[in-house]
Amino acid sequence: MNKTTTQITDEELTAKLKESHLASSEKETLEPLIPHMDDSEREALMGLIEEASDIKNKQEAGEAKYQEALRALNQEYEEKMNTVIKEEMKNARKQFEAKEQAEEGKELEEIESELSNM
Amino acid sequence: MKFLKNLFNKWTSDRFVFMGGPDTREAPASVETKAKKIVDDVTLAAVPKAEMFDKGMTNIERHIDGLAAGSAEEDKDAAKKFAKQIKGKERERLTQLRDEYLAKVKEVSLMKLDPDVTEEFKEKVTEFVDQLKEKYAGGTSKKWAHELSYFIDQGKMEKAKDKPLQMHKVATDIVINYLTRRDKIGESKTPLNKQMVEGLAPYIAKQLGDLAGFESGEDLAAHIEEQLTDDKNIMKEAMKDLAESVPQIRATSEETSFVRNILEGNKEFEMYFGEAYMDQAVDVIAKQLEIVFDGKGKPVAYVNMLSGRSDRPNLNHTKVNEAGMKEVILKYAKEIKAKNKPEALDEYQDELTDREDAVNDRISFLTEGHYWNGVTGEAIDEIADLEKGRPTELVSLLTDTKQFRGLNEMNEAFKNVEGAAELLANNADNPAVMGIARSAASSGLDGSALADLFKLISDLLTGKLWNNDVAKEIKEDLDAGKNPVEKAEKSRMAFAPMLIDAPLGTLLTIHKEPGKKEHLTALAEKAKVTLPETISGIQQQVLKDMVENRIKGEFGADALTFKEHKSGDLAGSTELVVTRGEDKFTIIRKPDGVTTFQKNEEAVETISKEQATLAKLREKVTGEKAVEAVAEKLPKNEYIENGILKKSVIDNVHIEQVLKDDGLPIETAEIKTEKGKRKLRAHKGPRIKGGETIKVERRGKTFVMTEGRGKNKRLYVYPGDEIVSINRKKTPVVAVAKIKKGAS
Repeated sequence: MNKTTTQITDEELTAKLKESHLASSEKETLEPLIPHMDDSEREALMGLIEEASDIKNKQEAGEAKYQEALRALNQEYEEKMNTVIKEEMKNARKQFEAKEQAEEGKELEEIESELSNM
Repeated sequence: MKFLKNLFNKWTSDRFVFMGGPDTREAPASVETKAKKIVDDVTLAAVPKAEMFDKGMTNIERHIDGLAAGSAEEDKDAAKKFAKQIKGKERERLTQLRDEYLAKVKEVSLMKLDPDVTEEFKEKVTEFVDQLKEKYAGGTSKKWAHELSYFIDQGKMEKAKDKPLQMHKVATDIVINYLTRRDKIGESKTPLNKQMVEGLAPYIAKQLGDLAGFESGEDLAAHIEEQLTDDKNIMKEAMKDLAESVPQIRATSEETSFVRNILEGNKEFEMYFGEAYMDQAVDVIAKQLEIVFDGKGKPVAYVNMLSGRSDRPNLNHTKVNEAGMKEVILKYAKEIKAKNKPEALDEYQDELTDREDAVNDRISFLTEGHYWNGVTGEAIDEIADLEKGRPTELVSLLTDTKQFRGLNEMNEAFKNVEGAAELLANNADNPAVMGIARSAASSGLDGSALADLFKLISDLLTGKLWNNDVAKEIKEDLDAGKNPVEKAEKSRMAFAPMLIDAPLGTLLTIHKEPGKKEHLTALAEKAKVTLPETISGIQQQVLKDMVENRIKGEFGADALTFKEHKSGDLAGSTELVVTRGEDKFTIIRKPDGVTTFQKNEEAVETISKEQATLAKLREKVTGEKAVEAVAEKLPKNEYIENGILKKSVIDNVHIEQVLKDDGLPIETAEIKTEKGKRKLRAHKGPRIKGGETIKVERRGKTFVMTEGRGKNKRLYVYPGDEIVSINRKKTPVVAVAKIKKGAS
């Protein structure tokens, strides 16, 4: 058993608990229990406080990496998506124009035909 | 083809917005701004963009529909077909891109910390916390006890461990300490009054029981209660014995002959009183001096019955020997002589009669059990000391009427809050109740309002009257520093008189639609009640509950069920099922008001709309007439006031109902018991209060009337009913009473 942890005072342990990354409801419950805790329970609490801190650090580091990778991914696929949409837009425009030309050509032929029949 | 051109322009503009990227087309300024915002938002958020793909898909559908909608009628089909055709390829490409994107997002999300790790850790912490809570507080509701533990004196606890009565006191001290020094542990002070604190003591004792490892909290509380009851019973008997030994204004033959020997043996007084006044003088002095003899004719102590105030005679014994007693007798004879006979003798005689009344009042006060209605540590200690043979305190108690009165008042207040404390103890796991209680405690309500409030909470918990919405309203009022009791009571009292004589149909309608004012208007007029402008949520609930209670009360029902028939032969009818023990009554009221009444599925009778009052329906089944049913037969000038029954005599059963000044019945009827010693009064003296019940036996079934206010809490008494007990929660049955037969 670590001597340092067993000799921690109630006040010090309470301060550590308050600063810890444990949930606030758990802090509220644990705080009044500190004076009753025996050495092993105090040590267990210290361990949990440290573990909470460790988990918090890992969480933050992992989150940062993820965000960075995601940002790159988003940029890549945004570009790809825009390319697809632009290409499709051009394609659609071409098709509209072709269709319009064909329609107009028909109308012209009809007019010419009517004129020739007059 | 102009429609295609227009649509194309619109489509590509919208598309620009969606895309957010630059395009060769010139977009309107507003669209451009909007587009830029979207791009910025998306970039800044840096979140998975799967939903952008989804938007792309939705946009495709929208444009296909738009294309068709914008075209001429004859071109619509062709336009839609054309649009679908050219969008198909885009849809396919976007889907492919999205799947690829999502797969990669999943891949990178592995960089995050595994959620299982945090979950496992959470479970580990929860387990640790629970273990500690269980170990040190005995459960999740014991946080308060932990806080209290700061103020526990282990030494005192240890000493009190096997003495529940002392444990009760230690607990009280701890709570007082706790509440006055609570700011030390980071919570604001709670300005509870002493009575409240004392009332909480049993609850705290439970918690302390856990902390001290004293059996279980529940066992300890039960043990304390049992001990208190035993102590009270022992002390009650002792008090009765002692009351009997209270000095009396009466002269025994031994006293009389002792006084006579002294006076007749003294020439001065033999001459002065003479034969004419000697007997009177001996009688007066013998009555004034209560002499205690040693059994051999020698005096050992005396009490001067005329010392002290007329309403508080000093009944302390003074030790004395034979010579001293003679001196005392002659001293008082001299006092009489100084005032001249016979006026002095008459004056002493009158004074003694007054004192006799005062002493008798005190004895009666003790023996009638008023004192035993409640328990306080102070009273118990005093009486416990007396029981151990310290008569000085007894004499002091007996002689100090004012102290008695104070104790009695305190006991009354204590009882209320004690009930509340028990309520809180039983609901310590209910955050709503504890929240309300805490708010109430800090709102500065006085003891009486607090007691009322706890009654409301109790009703809420037992579902008698309130629902969660009402609880919320109460809490809001409390938080705003208002007294919610008044508001709740007003709501209840405003409606109470209206429902007394309401026909069944009206009651059912009110129950169904309590907020509809038109149902209530005619009734309100009849009952001379002014309805509020609007019926609030709280009033609606009150009204609904009152109707249920009214019906339950009339039938002595255990439960009610309402049902609306929407279809079939009974469409539009209301069905009310009332269960009472093994019996089931079914009341079906058709839309035309005709009411069918069944008992245990067998039709009893069908009655008209006018006949269908609850009292009549009950009469149809049981043949019993309610008190009110015969009230009309009584001489109005004697028994009826403002149309409300005040007193009635039915089959020699004597029942009195006491009215409040406003004409409304109070919470309980006055019932004269067999011995005439226990009265339940409306305005003074012991009455139904927190935790008390009156049980009434009717055809082998027991009905219980609990405390409450308003008409709806009244229990009707019928001929043949027998009141079997008047029961208090904190004490066993204190009286067994029958309705006095033949009383007038």
